[in-house]
Amino acid sequence: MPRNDMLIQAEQLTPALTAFEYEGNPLDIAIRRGEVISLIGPDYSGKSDWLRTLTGVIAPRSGKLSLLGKPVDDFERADWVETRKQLAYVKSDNTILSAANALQNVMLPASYHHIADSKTLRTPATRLLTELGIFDLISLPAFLRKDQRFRIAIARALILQPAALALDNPFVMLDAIAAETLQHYLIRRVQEQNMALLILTHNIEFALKVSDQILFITPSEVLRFDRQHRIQDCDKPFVQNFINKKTPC
Amino acid sequence: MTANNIVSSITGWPGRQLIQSLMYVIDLVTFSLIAIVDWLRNNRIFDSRSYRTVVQQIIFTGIDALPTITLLGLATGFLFTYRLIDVVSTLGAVEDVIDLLISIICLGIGPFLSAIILISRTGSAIVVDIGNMKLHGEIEGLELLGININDLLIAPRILACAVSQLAITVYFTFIALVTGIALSGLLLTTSNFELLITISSAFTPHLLLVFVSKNLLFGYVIATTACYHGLSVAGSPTEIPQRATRAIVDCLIFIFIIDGLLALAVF
Repeated sequence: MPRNDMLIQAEQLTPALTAFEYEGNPLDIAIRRGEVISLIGPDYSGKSDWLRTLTGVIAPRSGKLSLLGKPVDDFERADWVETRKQLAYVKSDNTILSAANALQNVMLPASYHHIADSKTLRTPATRLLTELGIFDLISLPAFLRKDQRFRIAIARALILQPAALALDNPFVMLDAIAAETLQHYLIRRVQEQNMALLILTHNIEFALKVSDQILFITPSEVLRFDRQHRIQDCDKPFVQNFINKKTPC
Repeated sequence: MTANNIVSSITGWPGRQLIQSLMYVIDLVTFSLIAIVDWLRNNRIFDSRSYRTVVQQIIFTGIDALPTITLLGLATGFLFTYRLIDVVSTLGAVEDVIDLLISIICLGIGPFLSAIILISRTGSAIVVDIGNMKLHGEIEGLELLGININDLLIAPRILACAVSQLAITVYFTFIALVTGIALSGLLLTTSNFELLITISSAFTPHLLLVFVSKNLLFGYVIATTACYHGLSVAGSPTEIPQRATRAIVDCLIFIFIIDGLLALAVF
């Protein structure tokens, strides 16, 4: 396997949770290109912090974390810039620039990183936005719906053609049809671009259906399942109770 | 609490305040230097994004402020320049009038009033703008994409404010001098029109350097303080007006101090 196929590798990792101290078991995981990893579990169990830790957005409390094949302890400034370009992380709440329209928002990171000039970027940016269902390219974010702003944020991350896309609860603000459309789109991107997708979701059905690995996170432990059948074979009652609820979004 | 403790806490207060103030100034200087070094290191000076931020900031700070500057320049010309020429020309020679006009209008009132306008318009706007961006997670969103906000938001604003401060002071001083001299020429004696030529030749390279440095320094300090306080907004909307007020007051204090120190150094 080429070295750059291994995107995230964690050994004995525990996160520094914001709401409480995590006292559970550490996590060992390897995430490669083309994989879908779902983070599921009950509310307020620190899933967002786990996702942020795995993508290097926040420092782990303990353990070893390697991103793009290099231990984060050895990272220099340029490594962090490259990591943020390659491991795109999109929060659930709106993070796009309020003073720029959809097109400008999407073009900004690519032009900042000198991927192409503004004229060249206009076409791929427009295509990305259209694919994500954003047709109003010139209105400021204040005049757009929350879910539209979130989709612009996804397009803004995808313009950099990242090796992995981490999404924090992307379906929560979408109706059932829009959520399904986004799910199909994301899976297509994973297949076409050989990109890894890390997704924190409450949509158990989606997680069970598409994930190569599932992280079941509770406040006191993290369980890693390789394949769909493994989580369904899990003998822990709280896991079975949780996945059998199968919340739609 | 013993009397000894009370005395030491009272006498310690000025020392603590002094240390806090010094640390604050060091913070500001470090903050601005990091922003500018980042900008230069990443070769963002002629980058289209940085360039656009600089131009937008100059337009807002300089061009949009022209009506206010013009009004203030006209008022200063009437209230100060004309009165100075009127009073001093009865007491001294033309050279004294020129000296006073340069030291009071060009190096004193001009930069100072321009700085007040810059603080009240641009300084407060920068705090609110950056504070809101911080509050709504826009800055975090940029950083998550590997974008260094120093070369996208901070350094261009610092540069633009410094340039704008210089430009609006030149414009303000020009209006104030021309108005005052023209009025004195019309209302006192027509020979006063000659002051327009005399004053332009009296501006030595040394004075020009002081004028330019002072204005660039004023703009730099105002933008740095405003950006610093904008980025200090942590999590509540109530912090934005608090930070804006703090930035305005601090800018005013810094301008007074710098003005005083430069006056001591130059004159």
